[in-house]
Amino acid sequence: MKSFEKNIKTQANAFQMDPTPGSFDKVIAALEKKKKRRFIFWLWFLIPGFAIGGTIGIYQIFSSSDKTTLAHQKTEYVTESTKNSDEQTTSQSSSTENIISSSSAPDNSNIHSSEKNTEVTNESQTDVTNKNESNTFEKKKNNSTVNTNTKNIHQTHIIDANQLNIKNNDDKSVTDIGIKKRINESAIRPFFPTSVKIQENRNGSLLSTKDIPLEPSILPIPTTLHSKFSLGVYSDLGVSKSIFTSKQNDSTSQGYYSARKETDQFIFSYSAGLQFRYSPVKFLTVETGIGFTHYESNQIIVNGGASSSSMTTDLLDTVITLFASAPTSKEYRNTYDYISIPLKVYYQKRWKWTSIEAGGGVIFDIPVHTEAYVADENSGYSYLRNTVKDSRLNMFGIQVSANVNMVFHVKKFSLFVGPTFKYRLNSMFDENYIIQQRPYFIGGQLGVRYNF
Amino acid sequence: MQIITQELLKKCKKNERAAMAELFSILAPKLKGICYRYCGNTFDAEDLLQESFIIIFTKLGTYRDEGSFEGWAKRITVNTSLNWLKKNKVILQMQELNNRVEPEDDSEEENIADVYAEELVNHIAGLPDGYRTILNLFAIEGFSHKEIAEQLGINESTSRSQYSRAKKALQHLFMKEKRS
Repeated sequence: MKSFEKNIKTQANAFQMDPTPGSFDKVIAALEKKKKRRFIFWLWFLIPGFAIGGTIGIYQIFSSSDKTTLAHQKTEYVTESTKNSDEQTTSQSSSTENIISSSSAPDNSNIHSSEKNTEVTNESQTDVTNKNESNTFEKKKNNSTVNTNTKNIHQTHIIDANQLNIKNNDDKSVTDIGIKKRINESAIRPFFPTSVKIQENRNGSLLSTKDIPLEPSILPIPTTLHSKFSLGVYSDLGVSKSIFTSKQNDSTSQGYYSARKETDQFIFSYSAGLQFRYSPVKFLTVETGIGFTHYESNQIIVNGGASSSSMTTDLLDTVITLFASAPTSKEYRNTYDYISIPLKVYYQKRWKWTSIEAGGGVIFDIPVHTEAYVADENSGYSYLRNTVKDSRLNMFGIQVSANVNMVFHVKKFSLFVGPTFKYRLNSMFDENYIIQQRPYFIGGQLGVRYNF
Repeated sequence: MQIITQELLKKCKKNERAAMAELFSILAPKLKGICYRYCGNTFDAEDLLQESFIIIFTKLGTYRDEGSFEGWAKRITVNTSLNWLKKNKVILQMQELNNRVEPEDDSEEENIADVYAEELVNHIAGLPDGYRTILNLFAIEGFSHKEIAEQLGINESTSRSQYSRAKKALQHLFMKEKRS
């Protein structure tokens, strides 16, 4: 290394400069703020995560309970002639065995349990056994696993005809389409099968099966298609920017207005809360609730040329000038937190598993916290304020909001997602403030509701 | 002279405020000196120092006791300063300057051998942004022109020409001072 570089390196490395008083405190304050932001950032992953996870969990629970119900519905009829068994009975018995074996029933040795046996009289038996014999049919409930392998979509379920209100003789007119409809409308519709065998007792035949093809289904049928009340959680995630207007025509106001307008940009913003909905009729819903709204607004602040001794060391009350375009300018994000109360009306169109809803309304905002630079028209400086009282904020805000949501229904839960737009009608600041600021929000809404 | 011990770093990793304050008091003067060398004014140097310490405390868990901690912290400070320069478009402005490489002139090298550190750094701070950045990276941090070009996204020849001019400008300043 040449002597120039060597000398310069030695001297430069020896150079030290004392930090300004309070510098460490500012670092700690910034770290705390960063930690808080990181927590909030992860929170917005956790909330939808819990919502989706919870819904899947609930779906799994209901799914397995429905499968168990189905397993219980699978019934085998075994004839037991108490006296004078003739060939017909024998042939029917053997026919039964054939049917059972051909209907991919599980191994009987695993399923016969004496505790669960119930004896029922089959009324049609008289037609079949010369009216002298009384056959009892041992109804053995099969508790073995039925179709637990959901990967195999070509599974077969055996459903008792009685479950579908198909009686022995009187429902000859029920067609396959009718049976299919009854299965679809009943709560016993299997989740995954493509065909169902109905164990029926018609046409003089004691037992036979009928293949009813069903469309593959992922979701269980909702218990009710229309719920009057629902309670849920929602989150709006998106970006916001503001529309500025100048209050006065003097150079200070105009300069501040220009500086704010030119440096404003889209910044991540969010809101979340609880929602309560009342639906008097199927197609109309009224929504209200309570939520928390956070958004930020960009501002360029400039060191006013004040010496460091005249500047207050308190991070939250630093004196600055109002305008941008100076070499020492830096970006600051004013933050505003509100409690929000929405009041919206939705039109909704409902299908079995999904629905679409479009609506809008107003959101009332009450400021609860801020960390923002507030301009003082008289001094020509801005001051960082962290209380609502000193912030010149309007204590009441009103926004208009529009939403279109796609809703997915899982049992009594509804997951909803869709675009949302919000615009503040009145200024964020009091009417005498140097500028008027009306933010707008573009983003998406995500949430889950429980329908009562 | 205070030393940064492993014990102190462990406490800092546990977010113990007193330990963090001690680490800050040890490193801050040196790191602010670096910031000042890069940005050229005390106001931004203070901001850069705070920004660097926020990164140091946040990334402390990733420091693996390999090499000196001071060196690790200095690298973070240099990177923070470079990012600041990039953000403020100082690097882009360099590209617009004439890339002609001027022959190096070692005739005045002895002039800066007996200069005080503060005097030298103040002169460096007074140089134009482009000169100052290249001088810092080449002469003080020890990067090659190729590395500087890659890091700043400029041509190698730009780095050479900027350094050559920075060196001349600095030597000129010292000569002027000596005469006066």
